[in-house]
Amino acid sequence: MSDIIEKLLGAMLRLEPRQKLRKTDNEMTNTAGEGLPAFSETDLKPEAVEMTTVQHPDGRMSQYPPTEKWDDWVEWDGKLWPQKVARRYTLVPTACFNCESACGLLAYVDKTTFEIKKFEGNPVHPGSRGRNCAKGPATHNQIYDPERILYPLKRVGERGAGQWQRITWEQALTEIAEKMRKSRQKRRDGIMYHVGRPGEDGYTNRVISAWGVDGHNSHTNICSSGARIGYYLWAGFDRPSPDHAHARTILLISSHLETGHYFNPHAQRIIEAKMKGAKIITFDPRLSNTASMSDVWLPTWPGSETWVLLAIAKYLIDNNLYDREFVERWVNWQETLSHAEEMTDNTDLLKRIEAASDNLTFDLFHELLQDLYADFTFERAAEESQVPVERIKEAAEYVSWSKGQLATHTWRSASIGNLGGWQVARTLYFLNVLTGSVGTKGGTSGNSWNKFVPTPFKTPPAFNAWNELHLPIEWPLAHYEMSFLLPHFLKEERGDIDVYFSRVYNPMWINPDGFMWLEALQDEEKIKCHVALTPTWNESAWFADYVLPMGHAGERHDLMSQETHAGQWVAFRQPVRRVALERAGKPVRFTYEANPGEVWEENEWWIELSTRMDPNGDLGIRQWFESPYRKGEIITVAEYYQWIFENSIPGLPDAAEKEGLTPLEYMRKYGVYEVVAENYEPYEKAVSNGKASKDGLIYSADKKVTGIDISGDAKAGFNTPSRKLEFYSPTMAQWGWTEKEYIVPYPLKSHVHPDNIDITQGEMLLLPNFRLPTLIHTRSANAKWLYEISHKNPIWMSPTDAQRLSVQTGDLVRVETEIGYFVDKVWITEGIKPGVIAMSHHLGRWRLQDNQGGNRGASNVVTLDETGKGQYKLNVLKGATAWESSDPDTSRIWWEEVGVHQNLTHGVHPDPISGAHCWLQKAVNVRKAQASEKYGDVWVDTEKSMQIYHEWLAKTRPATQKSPDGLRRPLWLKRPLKPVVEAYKVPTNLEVDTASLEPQGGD
Amino acid sequence: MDGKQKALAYSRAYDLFAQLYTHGLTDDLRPILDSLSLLEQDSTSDSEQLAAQHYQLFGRNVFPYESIFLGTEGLLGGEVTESVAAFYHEVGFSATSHENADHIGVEFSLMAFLCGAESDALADKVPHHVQRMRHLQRRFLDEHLLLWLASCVKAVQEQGQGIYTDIATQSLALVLEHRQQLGDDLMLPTSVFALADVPNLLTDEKTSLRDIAHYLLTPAYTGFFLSSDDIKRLGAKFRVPHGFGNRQQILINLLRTAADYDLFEAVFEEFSIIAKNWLQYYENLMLPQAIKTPWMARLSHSITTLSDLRQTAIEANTEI
Repeated sequence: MSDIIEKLLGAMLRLEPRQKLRKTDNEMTNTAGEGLPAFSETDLKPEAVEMTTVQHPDGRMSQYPPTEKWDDWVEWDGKLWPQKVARRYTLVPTACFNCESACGLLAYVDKTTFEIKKFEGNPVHPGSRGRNCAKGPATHNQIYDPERILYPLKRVGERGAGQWQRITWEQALTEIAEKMRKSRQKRRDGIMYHVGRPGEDGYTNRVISAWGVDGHNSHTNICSSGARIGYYLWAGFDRPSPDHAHARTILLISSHLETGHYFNPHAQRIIEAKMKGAKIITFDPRLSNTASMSDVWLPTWPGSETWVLLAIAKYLIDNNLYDREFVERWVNWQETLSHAEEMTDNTDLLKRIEAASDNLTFDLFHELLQDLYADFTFERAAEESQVPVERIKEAAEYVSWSKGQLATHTWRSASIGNLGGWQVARTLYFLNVLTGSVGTKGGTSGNSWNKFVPTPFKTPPAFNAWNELHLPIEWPLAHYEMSFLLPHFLKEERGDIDVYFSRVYNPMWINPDGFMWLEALQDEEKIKCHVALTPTWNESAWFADYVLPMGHAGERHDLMSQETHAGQWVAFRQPVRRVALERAGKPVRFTYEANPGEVWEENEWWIELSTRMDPNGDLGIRQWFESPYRKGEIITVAEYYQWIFENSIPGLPDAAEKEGLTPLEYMRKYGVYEVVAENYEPYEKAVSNGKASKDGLIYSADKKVTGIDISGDAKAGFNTPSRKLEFYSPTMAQWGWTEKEYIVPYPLKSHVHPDNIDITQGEMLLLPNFRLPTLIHTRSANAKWLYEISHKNPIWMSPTDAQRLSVQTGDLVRVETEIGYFVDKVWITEGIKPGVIAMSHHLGRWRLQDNQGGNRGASNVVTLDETGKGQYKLNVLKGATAWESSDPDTSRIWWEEVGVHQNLTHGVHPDPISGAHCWLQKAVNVRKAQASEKYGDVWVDTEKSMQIYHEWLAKTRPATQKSPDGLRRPLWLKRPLKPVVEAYKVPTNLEVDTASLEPQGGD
Repeated sequence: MDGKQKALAYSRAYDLFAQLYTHGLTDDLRPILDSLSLLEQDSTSDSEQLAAQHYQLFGRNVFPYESIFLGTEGLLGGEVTESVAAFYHEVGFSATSHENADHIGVEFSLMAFLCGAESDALADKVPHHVQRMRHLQRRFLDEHLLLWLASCVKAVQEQGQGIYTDIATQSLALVLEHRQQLGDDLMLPTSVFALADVPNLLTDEKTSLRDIAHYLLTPAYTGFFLSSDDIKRLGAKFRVPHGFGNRQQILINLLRTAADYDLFEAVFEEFSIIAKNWLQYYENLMLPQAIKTPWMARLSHSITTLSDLRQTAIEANTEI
């Protein structure tokens, strides 16, 4: 024996064994990310059982295994036909995570290998009712994606250099918790959790509250802020919940039938209504699939929607076609009349209103409305919107025909596209108010009426902190955090971040002005530690310090409820392998033990991280993570949900008991619970706990407003300060926005109004924010089925414009924006309005290394160079390629184009009220590309970025100048997490740099 | 050291190398290696760099799977992997790693498991079980690990990744020592170990660059292993662009551009040098002859084939 080996063997005897190796007798495999799944064959044969049949109202029928067979289900393997090979599964319900809808999924988990065969629909889910769009079954792609991140990684070397070290979860927990503890000990605004797709209701918010920091940052301001504030000012809810299935008329701003919010649950209900005779009106400059299925398509010039909506309103008012009784009962018309001088110069009317000030009549309000909207004729609306007047008239007829059953929806599109886009939501909901279609059957409810969020076992108190990087003083009404401006704020030295979590969020790619994010993410002085919680690689994670793999749908726990229709449900997302193992008597402590590689879930991660942040409880954090069942011990994820199911969801314990199950077992079995099947007009609900005051409001014993006195009856009313629908918004007036175009539903002139786009000078309007039905931001890049369907984003251009620019389909076009340019192919189509070019925003993914940093079938390999101070150039080296992996499909990739990353070239446009990034861009020059300009080229000057930022910053009216009560923001407006009132006070030492409110730079 | 202690020592040593191959030289393993003075290289370099090196080596260059070295598909999870998994099933071993069954770390874990079981059986005084465990150890080494370990170690050595070169070299020394201790004849599968038949590239008119690349990237055909970095080094040496892509793609690119720039002959000469280098390695290795011979024969065959390919290229050029 050689000396060295003898020495080695001798030393081995002196060591404690690392672990005891044990013999097991199962054949479990776990191949996801490294190989294709294998399934066992059973000698059992499928039983002839009565399937669960769902007869859809549109005539179609679907069949599903009956729920009593879900634990043990045998069926033939369809992929092996004509061979008859039987597979034995346990069916585990979970919820999709590929968009916001939380549709039900049913995972078929092999009972021997515990590999997942497929995801199908969950027939007992009240929102999706067994159906899914393409993104649901594609969850399987994401789980078996050969490019997925399987283990925690830590950066080695320079940030962004692409060198990674695999570490243990324990190391990640220990190191990150220590940084958080140090931050929390010195400040309460040093930790930031920046979330893209939350995919859950309240869990993480509770965690952040427990840390006692103002740490929540969202993606809302690039998504839905405009719509949210528009709705909120009306009724105190910030999302619409249209009851499409029972509507007579459906009015959609954009393509909700194919891609909108809650697309799958809504699409099926819209078609049901259409089958029953409902009329569909769609506003969209693109001939989308939705537009093509509509009775009236209004290709409005972007930003002109308010004109058309108010022309319809005028038609209803002038012809007494509105629901006068409803408006008189529920709109704050008396308050409106008392502020009439802010809305009209009609001295005769004002005199009569003043004369009747002690006895205001609704007729005066009717007159005020007529006066206010006198200019909104069909002809004027047609002129503003560039839509034939007949179509607007037809739409108005259909709206008047709705008779309390008008389902409307705007979410992103126009309300997030335009300066003042929030007025699109406000003017749209005005039609619901006028037709009395508020919360009615077939009308439009508020999200809070149809969404059920159960409370957990213990809720941490509000924190006393205000993070200036989230809601700075210039945007007191923003809905919500000014998240897309984070790099701009950092550049202005407004603060720094000790620990930055990005979760299901790729800020550099998804936000406008991405190179500003590049600079911020590279700056270790400003963002001291970046932890990317992501299931797959993305552009931003490349610049993280830790990349921690978190599970896809089917690999995690979450609770979700969405306002998909006039009812309430709670869905339980589950890690399906874990549940299957537990059903088989194989206990699992942490979900990463059951998931592929060491992929974890946030729920357990946050518990473990938080307790390590405060191991002795001296920061007051640990207490919120102690089990309600085992005093002083750390809670398990199962206990967390057990408590909620036992205590917070009405009816669930009884339903479970009827089946001989515990509430947790019930939810593990079905994955969903329907709390309320139908929920209409909750504002009419009688209130018993309180007394009416002189102001007409009902107060409880602890002086909280619980309702309103309506004609002598105590009613719940709306969640506004007046408890009424606020046509006149006192909030807007009090906070310095006193002009009529802010205080009542009224058009605001968009930054892309035709006056600002000179087509003769080569300018055009770039519409950059439409979705494709099968993709979802950056999450879908690792789903091979989805990318095979959609993988490029050409520029839509009308033949008129194509002729002017001498381009044909397939030609390269260079689009210059305010801050840079990009080059993409063009698609000539009649389906886009002349003067407007459009481009989907899901595509154009990129990576800096060939074999790392993104999916090879879905991203470009690029070079990224700084060509001058703050100037960046991105060039595509190559597009998608086939490659050999554990999945043979990767060698079959046939496409090369994967789109162009246009968002990098978008200047930031923060709306001064909603805070929304107004996505529509002025293309300052559009022309055929020159020979030296290649597909995918992007160039941006971030100095110009800051100039554009300052131009928009100058539009704000800061709280330091306009706050009526010394607070930063109206208390009644929503925040994802509200601090204590004390934190709302405008600090005396906080002054706004008025110079920064002046546009800077430029010639 | 009595038999029980020796078996236990082997078990732990195998387990140590299993961890090193799977996770790299992590902080918890460094004191052990430092105390042993096993490594010629200085092991005081930064642990983060070591982790990055480990990933660069085993994640992106030398894929340490039996199927890569003995299979002909260049894919994981095929027949070779299945035969390893079948062995595990037979002996009741369930890997705790998430790697494929034929990953080098998992194969070392299996040996740790078998040696541990032998030690237990000696402690329990169950001689027939001791014999069975020793028999299984011999079988696994002769049917699997020893057949490809030397090639894998050579491939690692070629990458010049410092400490991991030492680790790989010592792991081979351990296995060879252990195999010698176990005694008895080789128990090779199908009576005699043989590598897969080589496709006849020269006589097949349909032979494409892809076929040649596949041949060059299949150790069971050529006897040697080419990593991505090996190919890139070759490209750099001759200033031939290799482009982007997986190993096969960059080799195809390199061959294509080599042909374009009249460097095909030089590049093939370089492949011959590589084959000769590997042949010399095997000649000096104390590997059981029954394993050594097929690899050496294959390398000799490759030297001839590469020469023929080079000649064919010259003739083709002349004809043009």
